[in-house]
Amino acid sequence: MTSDDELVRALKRGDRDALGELFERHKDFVFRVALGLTGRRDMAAEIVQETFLALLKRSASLDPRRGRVTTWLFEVARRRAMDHHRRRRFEIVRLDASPRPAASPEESAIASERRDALHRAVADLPARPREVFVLRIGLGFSVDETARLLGCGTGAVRTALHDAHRRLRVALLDRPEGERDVRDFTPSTE
Amino acid sequence: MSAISRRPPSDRGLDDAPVAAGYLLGERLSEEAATSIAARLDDELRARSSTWRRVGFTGLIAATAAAAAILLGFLLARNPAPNVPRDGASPVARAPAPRLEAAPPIPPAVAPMPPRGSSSVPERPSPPLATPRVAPEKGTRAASAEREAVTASEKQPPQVIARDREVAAPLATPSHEERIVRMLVRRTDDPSRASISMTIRYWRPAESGSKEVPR
Repeated sequence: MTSDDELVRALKRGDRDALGELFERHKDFVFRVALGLTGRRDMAAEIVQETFLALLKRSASLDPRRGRVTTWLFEVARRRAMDHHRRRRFEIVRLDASPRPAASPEESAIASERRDALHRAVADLPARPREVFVLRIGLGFSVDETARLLGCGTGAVRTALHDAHRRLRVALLDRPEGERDVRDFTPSTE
Repeated sequence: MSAISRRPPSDRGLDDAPVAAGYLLGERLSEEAATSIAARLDDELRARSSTWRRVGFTGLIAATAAAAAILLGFLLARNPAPNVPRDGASPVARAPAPRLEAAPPIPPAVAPMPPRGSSSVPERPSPPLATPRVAPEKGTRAASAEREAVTASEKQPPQVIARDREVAAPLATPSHEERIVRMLVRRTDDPSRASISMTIRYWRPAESGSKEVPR
């Protein structure tokens, strides 16, 4: 299997298939990062497009020796997500429903609402706790990996994660009685 | 059972996260969005490749034009006076044809000089500098040949073969007018190297109507 570095070199030579392969490999990762940081699927899809367009435009200056392409994609997606988040922070929109099948329309609606509530709560966190929470909890990176991706120390990651937990508990518990169990907000990973 | 831990925050680990770890891992970009983005990327790739082709073609033309301009500038720098032939050809053939006309006889008298420092009279343009020649050593055959050539040229006056069209240069003051005439003069002893260009200025009082005379 061709490595990411080889694909980046091929992309720099103008290989069109290389971009398609990189997109297929990493589109979901970029989407998850963007969704976790913005809390909106439509915005996350937009960020995926912007991120890969940026990869295409800046492919000439990419150097595989200076870092992995996933790190580069994460950084671009994170910045875009922050920009989108700042711009549309006060928009009130109905989030898209997940296409994941549910047992019944009623359950599906409830699950979708809870999922959206979770994404909104995460998206309302301050920048650093949100980034740490998305990477550490949402995507399952280790503390070391999260620190490396964010360019900070592991102590800062733990502090920000604790802050995120505290804020999310307050946000998710400040809801109607029937939604007080925050684990119900966890989307299914199946 | 509530999932909220009542332990102090310092004791909480990843298991105590308010949501399950990896809650984002189940999220995927929808097929519809992925197809749309892939098409957009493909369009961008195609546009960029065609842009590069255009830029490459234009760049080739620009580079060729730049090289031609540099070459032309180099040639002009080597031969700044177009009416001074370097290879012995006729100066008339090298001068621009529309600017040449038959040379009138040079007026015999000298015009009165305008007052020095007057702003109405432009400074005399300096004549073109002759190409410095390396003098041959004394006593050699080349030195004697050159002495003979110089003597012959001094005996025979220069021959005016053509004159530029008049270049009008009206002066600011109403009392004088000026004409600048550029002449081609060929020395009869050595036509190849003695062709020169000279500028002569004429003045006359505007109100007197007298014949113009060269200065």
